[in-house]
Amino acid sequence: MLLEVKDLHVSFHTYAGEVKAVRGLSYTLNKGEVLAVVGESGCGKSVSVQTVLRLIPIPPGEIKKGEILLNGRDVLKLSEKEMQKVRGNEVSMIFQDPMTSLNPTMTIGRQIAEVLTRHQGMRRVAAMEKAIEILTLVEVPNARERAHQYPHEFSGGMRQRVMIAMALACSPDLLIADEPSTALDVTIQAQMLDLLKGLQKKLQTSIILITHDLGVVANIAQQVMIMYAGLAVETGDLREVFYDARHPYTWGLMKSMSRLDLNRKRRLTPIEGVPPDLLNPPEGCPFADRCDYAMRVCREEMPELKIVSGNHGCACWLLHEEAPKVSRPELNGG
Amino acid sequence: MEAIAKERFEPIPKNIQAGQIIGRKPLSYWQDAWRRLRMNRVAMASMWVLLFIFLVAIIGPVLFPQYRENHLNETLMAPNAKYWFGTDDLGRDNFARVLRGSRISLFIGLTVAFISLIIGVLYGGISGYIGGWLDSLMMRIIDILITIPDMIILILLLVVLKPGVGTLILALSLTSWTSMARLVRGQVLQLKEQEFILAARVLGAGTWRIILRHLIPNALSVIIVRFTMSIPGIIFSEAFLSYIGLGIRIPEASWGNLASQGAQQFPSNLWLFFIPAAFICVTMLAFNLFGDGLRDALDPKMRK
Amino acid sequence: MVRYIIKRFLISILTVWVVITATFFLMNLMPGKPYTGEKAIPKAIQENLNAKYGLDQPLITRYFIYLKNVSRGDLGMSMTYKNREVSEIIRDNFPVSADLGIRSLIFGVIAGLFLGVISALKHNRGWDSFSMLVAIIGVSLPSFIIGTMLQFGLGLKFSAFIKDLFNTDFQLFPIALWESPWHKILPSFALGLASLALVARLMRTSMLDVLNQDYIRTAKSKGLSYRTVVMRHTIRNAILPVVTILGPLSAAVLTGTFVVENIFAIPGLGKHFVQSVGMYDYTMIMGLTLFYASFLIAVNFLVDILYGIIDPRIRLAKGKI
Repeated sequence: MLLEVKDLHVSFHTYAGEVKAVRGLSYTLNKGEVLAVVGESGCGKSVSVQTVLRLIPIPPGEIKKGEILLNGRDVLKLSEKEMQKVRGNEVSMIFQDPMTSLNPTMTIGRQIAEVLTRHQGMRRVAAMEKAIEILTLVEVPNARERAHQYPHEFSGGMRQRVMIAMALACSPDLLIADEPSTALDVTIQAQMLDLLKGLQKKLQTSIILITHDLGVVANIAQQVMIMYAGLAVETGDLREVFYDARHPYTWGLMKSMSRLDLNRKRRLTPIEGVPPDLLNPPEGCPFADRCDYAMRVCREEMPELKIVSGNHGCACWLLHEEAPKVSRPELNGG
Repeated sequence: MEAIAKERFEPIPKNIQAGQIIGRKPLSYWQDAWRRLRMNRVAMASMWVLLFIFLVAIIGPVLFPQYRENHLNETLMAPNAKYWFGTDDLGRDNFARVLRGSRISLFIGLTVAFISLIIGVLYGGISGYIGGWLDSLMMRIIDILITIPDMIILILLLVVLKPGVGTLILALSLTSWTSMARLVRGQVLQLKEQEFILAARVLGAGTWRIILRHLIPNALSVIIVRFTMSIPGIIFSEAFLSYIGLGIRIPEASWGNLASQGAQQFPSNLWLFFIPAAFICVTMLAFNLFGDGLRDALDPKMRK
Repeated sequence: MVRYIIKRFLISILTVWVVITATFFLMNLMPGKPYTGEKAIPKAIQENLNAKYGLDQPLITRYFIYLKNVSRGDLGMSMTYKNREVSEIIRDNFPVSADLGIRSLIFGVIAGLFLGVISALKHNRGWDSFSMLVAIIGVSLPSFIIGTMLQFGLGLKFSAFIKDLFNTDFQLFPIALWESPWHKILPSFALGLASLALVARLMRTSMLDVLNQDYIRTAKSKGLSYRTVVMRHTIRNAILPVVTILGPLSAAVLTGTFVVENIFAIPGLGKHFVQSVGMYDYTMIMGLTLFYASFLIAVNFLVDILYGIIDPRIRLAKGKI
């Protein structure tokens, strides 16, 4: 097992009070697998994965509780110096907006080479050669020439390739991609995901892919985790979650999912309402207020994550034996 | 599986407004800014200091109007019961002079800031809103003006023109409107393309109405901060010019010429220098601290 | 970049021309003829001046004569210093002002950068408050007040105390003239404090801004050391806006020399300028105004180029800018 997150709680202290961004999250990831974390914005996806690299600013952030075991070591207990050896080396990260994620006053080549000199003790010249090699790997044309250019000379898609090159420079065990294609044009998005998929096959790196688009997931992930209001509401293998979704929120996501291939006539139905404010998270199921199937108990008590079958878990009162039987609505794809 | 009463599984309706209502209290922009300003103790203290100085400048000269009277047998007296701030080389009451100086210096500071604001808003607003070649031309003019150092323009103007409060206001206004104009233009350009402008135009509102009713209120907070921050700079320029003999002339009083007069006595009769100097420093400090607080309070980026 | 330089250069030249023209017409349209003045001038000299400056010619002809003279570096004769050319006075006295100005600027910029960086890195802690206190005081105290206060506190009282204590004649902080390095401490400090304050405040804001940028998070996520993140990624980017204020800063320091040189009796050009203003020596005022303006325009031009060099976005821009 590469990564094991146990009962993680992360909060942010704001003027209005404590915002509980992650409220008891547990998941695991095996070597060489791709885990997709899906959910609306503001549901704690980014915070939960940035905590793996301890990149959330403290203060105002605070890791209240939990363990993050990376290859058996709890990263939350590492010193800052030890943590630096993990970042970019064992675990690296790609961010959402490639336009602002690169240093504007440093050449692309140097920004990649920097990781190599830092973690692999390479000389600058050798690191630069390696950087050019990696740029070629991520399909940046004329890599040798472009390595000496600055970020403003690159398009968004090209910059994201550079980010990927930088992240993969030290062949990390785990790559965290935080909505890597959201800020890009639709055509570029597909290219970017194909590239990630290809590289994953070639390098056998584990990936945590954060996205709010379920459509992206089917292509690349083996594991899926659906997050809502700082919690995992449904987790499991791709097939299980896709073909046997149990949580009404997952159903909602599927109905609102855009797919280019099928059902051109199908209406996209968004989920009504907005997620709860995590300043005062509700006592019961956070989705209850937006749920078509809500019951009294949903408002009163939080359902536990129950195993449905194999790896498939779901936190919903509908799974309780006393609950009325509800059949899954007609979904596309399934 | 634990037993749960059956009736708890009764369906209930959705409540899609829930997420929007509960949670943080909704605060309007200005309420929120005021709340943050009030929490900033330094800024609030500065605000009270400024209000006090304004009060002194308004009421003081009414109660102590004798700032021009010479008392030739009571020259250069140290502060005492009769003359709280001492007397100058012609026996004028320094207390009355400092009060009068406060009024003149603050009057100049506020008036010039206000004139610059009006010119800046008009010039920048027109330039930004109309755009095109007019914008380029207007901005080139500013480019050239700001390349020439303000103090050089001021000195040149004051050498040529007849000295006095009016001249000083004119000269200072001529040099300090440019930065406001640029700021306003930037704000207008940012806001110009937003949808509600389009909406206003569709509804048939005229160009001027759009500028006055929509564009300017939106840029207001940035402009308020710049306005506040420009006042200490103007007070400084007045003091500087009066100090080198180009601003307010004796027997009229301003903080700058009082400090200059005091410096000529230096190093004896120290109070003549240090009292007006202290007024300048405290006012500048209060304006800067208050301006900082205001900027922090009004900056939307500070909202969390 | 070449186009950028050419464009800046043309604007600079245009600005100098605007200054010359404005100065000339302001001075000539005002009541009281500057060149003839109120003082009696011997007839022979008057004729000489007429021949050289075309004083008997119409205004527009005089303007072109003036332009020609200025372009040759001839700024005319001082009206108060007999037989001295303005350009000669500049040559003799400007080096002292430049010495004072450069010392102040170096002190202000380096100390300001230091305070700004420290204060941003220790945001909301003791060092931050201390640096910002220094900075706000520096912004709020005009140089003529600081100068006089330093002169009194350190120059008179403290130095006298030291003399008593060690029973020597050595003046620790001399309060006047421009001779030994000791003479240069107080004036440079008084003049540099405002720059220090401005740089510190700007650098702090800029640092805090950069520290919140996505690329700093990227740098951290690469596992770079704190030192590298700060030095190579943060300061390198945060310093860019500070470079842009070097122009206005030079202008502030230069005008500051007018009063600081007076307070400390430093024989620089600023002191002469203020004196010529006091005596309405029009040729001096015109010549020095022109000189100061051109000097600062040149400084601005150099700063623009420097900015272009350190910011790759401008350096590499082809055409457009």
